[in-house]
Amino acid sequence: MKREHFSILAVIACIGIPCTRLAAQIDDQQQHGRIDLKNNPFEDKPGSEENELLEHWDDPRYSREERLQIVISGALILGVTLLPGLKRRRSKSDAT
Amino acid sequence: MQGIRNISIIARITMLEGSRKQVFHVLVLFAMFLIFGSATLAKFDQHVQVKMLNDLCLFSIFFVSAIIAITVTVTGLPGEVEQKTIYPIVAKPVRRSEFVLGKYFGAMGTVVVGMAIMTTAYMFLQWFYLGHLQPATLYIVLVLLEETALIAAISLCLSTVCSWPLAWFLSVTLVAMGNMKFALYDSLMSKHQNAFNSVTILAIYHLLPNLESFNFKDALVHDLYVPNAYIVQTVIYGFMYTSAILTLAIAGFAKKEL
Repeated sequence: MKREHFSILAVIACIGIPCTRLAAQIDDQQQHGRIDLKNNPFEDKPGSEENELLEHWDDPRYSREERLQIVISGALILGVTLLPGLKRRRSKSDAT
Repeated sequence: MQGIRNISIIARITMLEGSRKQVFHVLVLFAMFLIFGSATLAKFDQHVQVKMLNDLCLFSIFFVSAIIAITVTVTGLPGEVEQKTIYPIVAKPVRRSEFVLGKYFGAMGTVVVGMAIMTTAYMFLQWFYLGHLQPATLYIVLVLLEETALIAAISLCLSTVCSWPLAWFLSVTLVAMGNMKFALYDSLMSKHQNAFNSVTILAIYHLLPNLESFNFKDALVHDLYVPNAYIVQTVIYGFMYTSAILTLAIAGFAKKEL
């Protein structure tokens, strides 16, 4: 078996195991007649309906996230471009 | 100048190779079936029918373009290495970065050909039902093309570090997660997470591409106003994110032992 096959199995396991555990938990709670609604992410929260109606171009969160990711991308490009040059300079100074 | 020439030659060959692939023909045919099928699905009054047509056609264009982009980019680099066709190219004065960029632009060329065919069919239907064309459609398709370019860059980057089936699977997962990034974050953070989980979720949240930002389909379907500043910011965002992922792909391929 190749190393790649192990990675595919690992990815499937990472997704599959939590899903089966969640399914077992829900099944167990249903059998005991109690479902934990306290942490239910699908439960309606105050204001959730208004957020759903908001299009993404009107939602400030999207705009903020885009700006942040522009900065992260810029930093990444600079970092990856400058890193080899810095390493070369360091190795030169070490040699001298 | 020599670098640009090398990139364009590799891109041209990759584009021809991609557009000759059977999977490309099947996917474009499937998209045509969806686009023309959407016109017969809606048996409502003309106003509703046009809305459904816009909605279904734009979804089909995005879905099929994304699948073409992922499939073509994911099989490009590993295919060259497996078939050993990369060695004569690398032996010539061609940088690895030029090879990666050539492969990327070639794959995008294939996507553009597919998108052009699908958009022409969609525009024809729009003209047939409305009697005129909606100019906003072109802007929306161009933003969809940028989204597809971002997806192709992610697939290419993944294909430099893992085999093509794994890269394909991971790309599809990332596209799905990127399209529901905010809902996923809200759902995960609504539970009382410990500090480690919160930091991990936050890191993944900030690294995941925000693909929902490129979706302006609703604006066309419901005649909504989108601020120009937001569109410009989204275009810059797409360009920067794609460039960053391509930089990572080049760095990953440069370290690869051939």
